[in-house]
Amino acid sequence: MMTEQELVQRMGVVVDDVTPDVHALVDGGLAAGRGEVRRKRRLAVGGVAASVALVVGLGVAVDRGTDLLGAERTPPATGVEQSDGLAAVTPRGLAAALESLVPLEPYAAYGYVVEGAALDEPGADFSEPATLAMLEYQVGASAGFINATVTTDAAGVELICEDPDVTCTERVAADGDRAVVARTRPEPGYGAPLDAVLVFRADEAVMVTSFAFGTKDFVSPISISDLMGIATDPRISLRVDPQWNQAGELMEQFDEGSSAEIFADVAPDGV
Amino acid sequence: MRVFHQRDEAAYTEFAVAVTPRLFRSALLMCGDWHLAEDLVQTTLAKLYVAWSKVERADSAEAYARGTLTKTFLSHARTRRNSEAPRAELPEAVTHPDESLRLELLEGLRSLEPTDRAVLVLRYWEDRSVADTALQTGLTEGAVRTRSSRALARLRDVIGDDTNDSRAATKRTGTVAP
Repeated sequence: MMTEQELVQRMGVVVDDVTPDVHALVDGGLAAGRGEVRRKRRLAVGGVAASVALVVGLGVAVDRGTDLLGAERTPPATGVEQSDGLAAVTPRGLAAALESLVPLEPYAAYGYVVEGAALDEPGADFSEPATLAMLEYQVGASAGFINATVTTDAAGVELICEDPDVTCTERVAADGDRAVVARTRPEPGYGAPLDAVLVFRADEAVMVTSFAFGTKDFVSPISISDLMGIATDPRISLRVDPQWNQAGELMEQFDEGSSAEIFADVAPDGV
Repeated sequence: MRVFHQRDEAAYTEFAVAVTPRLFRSALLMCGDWHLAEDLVQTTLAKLYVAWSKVERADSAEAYARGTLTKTFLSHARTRRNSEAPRAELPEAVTHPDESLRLELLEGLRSLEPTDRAVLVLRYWEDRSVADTALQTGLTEGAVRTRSSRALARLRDVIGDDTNDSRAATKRTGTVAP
């Protein structure tokens, strides 16, 4: 009777001597993987400038229609006031602060927290908490968005700006912090155009973006200068005056959910 | 937070080159078709590239890769089960001194359901535990035990009990994880 050990021996007879073309397989896998990464970059982040993936937490999830950001969504920010009078910002608080800085009338607001989740996708790897808030408004016939993201891991932020769709410019913010301006205009059908400003503070990174679905000739109602002003404002921070958290609690049309849930409603087909 | 990974392609390539022969052998045992095994391995390598940051963080990158291969095979088997059947034949260029033994086993494996093939390969060829095999195949541990026993019995029926085959006995010795 053939035993388990004998099965293993027979399997060895079958395959021990086979010699696949390793380099051809690896090259093929590498090429396919690169293509998949590029496709995901373009489709990811809610179809938004996936080539830069600047809108970190907006999520690769849209591409799959699932929440890839993981189950852990307990906000690191409790809103409890600290000894310096500041409180950890909540998604609602961040949205309220953002709204106060944007000279537009949003018709919806969104927010959520990502903490300690690691995606198996390129583009977002949240080893540190990130709080996100987003305002939706009308731009022509399309939905436009202004997004603010704050995270503790300023030192860990990296940008890849070599994508042909992306233009990155180093700046120095008014307060001396390092800043990067990124603008992307992807090919039609490969995500939404986006303007973004990243500001690197000593203990946090702030990212403010403006983008829109459904229009390849996106002209943001918010200038780069405006975005820089928002990103450097102390209201856009992980720690804010508690009044903003309180104001956030009063916001109407606020949706606290994942990127998948948010963009499932607003992203046009194919984005 | 890393907004974008700076992909370490050198590390990926080094890992892929090292693990590909072993992945290919498992794939060949699972599917019995040289070209399909190549496709499965290439697809697996592409998935590993996409998920490289996670692979690097895994307790065992090779175990992660083998798990990915198993899922890729089972997914393929589910979607193609009505349109494709695995072939035992290898390319003509591949010669083997134990041709009859090789074909016999591949034929026997081909007679099994894809999930049973995967269970046998994971449990015995890859020496994975029942729990690990269950995890990789989406079965319960009880189902893994049952399928292992049943598939082995089926193989005995198909290829016989040639336990005195000296060619096989000298090739490899194996132990089975609990």
